[in-house]
Amino acid sequence: MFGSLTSPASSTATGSRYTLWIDGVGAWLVLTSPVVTLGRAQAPVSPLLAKSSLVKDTSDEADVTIMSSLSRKHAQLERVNESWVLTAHAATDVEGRPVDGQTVLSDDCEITAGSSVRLGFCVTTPLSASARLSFLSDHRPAGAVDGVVLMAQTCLLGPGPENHVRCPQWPTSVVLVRGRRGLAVKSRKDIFVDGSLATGLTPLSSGQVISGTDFRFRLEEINPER
Amino acid sequence: MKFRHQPETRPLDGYTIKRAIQRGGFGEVYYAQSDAGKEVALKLLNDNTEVELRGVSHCLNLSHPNVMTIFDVRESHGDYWIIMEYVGGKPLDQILAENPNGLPHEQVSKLLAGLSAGVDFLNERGIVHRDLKPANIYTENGHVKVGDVGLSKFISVSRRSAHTQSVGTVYYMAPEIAHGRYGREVDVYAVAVILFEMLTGKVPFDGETTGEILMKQLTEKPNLQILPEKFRPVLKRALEKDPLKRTPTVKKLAEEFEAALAGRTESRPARKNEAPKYESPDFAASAASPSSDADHSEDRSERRSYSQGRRVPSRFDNDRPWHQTSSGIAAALVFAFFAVLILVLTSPITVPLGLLSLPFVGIAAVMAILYVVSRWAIRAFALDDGGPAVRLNASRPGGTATRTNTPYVRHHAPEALRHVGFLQRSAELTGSMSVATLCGAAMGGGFFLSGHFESSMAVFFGAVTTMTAWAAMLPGKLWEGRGGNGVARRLMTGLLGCLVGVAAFSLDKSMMLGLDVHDYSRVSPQLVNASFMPGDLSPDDCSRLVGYVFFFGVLLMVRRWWYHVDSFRPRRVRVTSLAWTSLAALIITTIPQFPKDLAMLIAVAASATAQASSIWVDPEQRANSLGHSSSDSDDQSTPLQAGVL
Repeated sequence: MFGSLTSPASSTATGSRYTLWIDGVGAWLVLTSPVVTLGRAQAPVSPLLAKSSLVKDTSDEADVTIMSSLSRKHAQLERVNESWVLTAHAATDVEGRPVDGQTVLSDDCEITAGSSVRLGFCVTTPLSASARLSFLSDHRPAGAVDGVVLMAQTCLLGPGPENHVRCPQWPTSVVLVRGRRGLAVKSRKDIFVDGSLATGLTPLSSGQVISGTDFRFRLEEINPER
Repeated sequence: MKFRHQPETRPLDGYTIKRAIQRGGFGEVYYAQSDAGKEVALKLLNDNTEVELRGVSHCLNLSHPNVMTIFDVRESHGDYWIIMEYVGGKPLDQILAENPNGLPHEQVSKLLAGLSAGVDFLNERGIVHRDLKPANIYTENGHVKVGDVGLSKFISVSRRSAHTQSVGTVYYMAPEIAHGRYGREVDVYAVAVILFEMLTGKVPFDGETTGEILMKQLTEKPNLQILPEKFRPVLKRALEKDPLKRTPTVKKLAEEFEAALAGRTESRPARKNEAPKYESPDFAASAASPSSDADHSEDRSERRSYSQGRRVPSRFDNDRPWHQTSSGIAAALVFAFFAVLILVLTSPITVPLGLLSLPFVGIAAVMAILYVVSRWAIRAFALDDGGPAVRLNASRPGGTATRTNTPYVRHHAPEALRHVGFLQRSAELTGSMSVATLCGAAMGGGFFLSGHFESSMAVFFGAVTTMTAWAAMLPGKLWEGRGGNGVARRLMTGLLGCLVGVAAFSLDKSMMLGLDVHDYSRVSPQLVNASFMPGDLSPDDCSRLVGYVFFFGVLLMVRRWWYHVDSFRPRRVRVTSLAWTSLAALIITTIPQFPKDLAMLIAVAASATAQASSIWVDPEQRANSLGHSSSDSDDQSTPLQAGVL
């Protein structure tokens, strides 16, 4: 689960799961781990009960949780060099063919998990091993998430089709870079982090707002304690 | 795009803003979460607060699955916030942007059903939305949600024309808004424009400036030709400039669209409170107004069964016109033959009764009776053979029979410009001419076997019928898919008709039939000594030659034969066309001497032969034919060939 259990407190972005709240575009989940699991979401819990002892431990939840009848760990996506390998733990099809064990995902393919959850897998640019998962069926995570970025080294946000997150109204692309100390941001044009001009590659912390002349988004780490 | 409030701020107690969604004309919209985790859209009112609050207050307690719910209106630090349902799906404008050539008809039907249900719900409660446009219509989990009801205006007699502020998007703005009138007809117009856009990918009125678009909205008629023909009457009425002539309700518009989509052409009585004040003649002729929900649910279930690859088996498939089944076409051919035969055989009865002495009434009456009888016979005895509505999809495992999805058809009339390759033309023409020869021979043989014609007369009749049909098919096939001048085409077919006349005369002369054909004009005596006339022609022969040439020349010229043999003609065989051709032949014989019964026989037989023998493409497959023929090379077979008898 994410979104509703997020912490607005600012901390260094060293985790592996983030939400990008992008004005005028939507909410995108960014996963930096080379191994990403896909599974069923547990029932959403009100933030009012976040500290309650009645709330189940969610530490064993999948990285991408979908409100559906999938298994808790239905499938796994693993980045191997420049490719993504899908391991099916339960009934999973790729391009209509059942996956028996493992399969290497090709660009622009469709993954069907269970009987009805359909996801689109796309590598938007050959210059990056990062990939994008989009929701083709009506199934969604518990929060308002419009898509998932499986981030290798970079995550591109901008107007063109090569960007992992398409932001049609933006004048230029912004690049999120994964470093040893967490995420950083850079752009060819002036950008501001929490209102301060950022030059070059600027490290980011959870909760910071990145803005430019015509855009704004906020980086939020999910369950940093997990 | 700058927004006033930052993410993670709480300008309204109990709600945390996560991101901004958009900025509209009436304020900023944010995505926020309540303290309990509820996702909402928060709309911050900037200007026009009073206008919007008044509209919102009327919608505050309305609840409908197709209308975006307003939870509450709150005031905080001098700002007014509207707390609304958050809809995460794509707005319709984004869907349209992804489909620049329009949406599939089934998707349009589904979207329109939701849209009309939501708008009708508002209208029925005295609310006019006033700002319906694709950007305000959302889809989530396949359901339509009408948003931004903040612009809604409560209808009252006193306020109906009081608000003169020009708001909304001009593409979807009804003409009467320019005069400050905001009745529910405004929403009907906007939904009609959206429907037009969903079908074609284009708005009916476009322009460089707002003023230009507004002027077109006020003065120009929409170009309905880019719509599929069956939807034109529906959109014509819904886009009427005069709100009193417009489709009265959005619900009615959706019903008419569903009826047109289902191909129902029979009129059904409308509900009293939905009866249009002004009935458009062409609407009444071609659009239906279903009267009950039960009818609709039946139609929908039928379409569902189609889309799921199943088809309700029916021995007497009354949903499909008889001319779209091969059994119906065969029966129509038989009907055409027997119509001609019975007309001749009953002449001892009809002539004394004076029916044939009153050509207009007599022929029409006899043809009408025969048509009704034959149609009854077709429905009673013709087995449904599947026909073009069901196509075997060999690519599917097991080869299950699936209904072809109705494609988006922009142009499917004979006038439609399209590429038809040379080899395809040649193949279709030779095939059709061969079939026509068989038809002509069969007709001549039929009259011979019935004892009405002697062998030589039967041969003459069959040959002349075949030649007349050829003269229609040959240029018709050459002109198919090409633009051209109608007058020039008539002159060309008339010239071919003259050649048919010469051939008919030669046949008559060689077989020594001695038919009573003469020319009463003064032309033939002057031609006797003309240099281009054969030397052995007597004045009588010359008169007969001119009579033949005149009759066939005019017969081939007065009718649009190329239209009757075009593969995109409305129906394979049109009985009305036979009747008009027969009538034309009768009128022509008033000028030269030509046996009237023979003239009508030849005309009807040639028309029936030409129509029945020529390629005809099912309207549902014409879009495929267009795409296929335009992209493939000439030597490839096309779906058109499937229509050969």
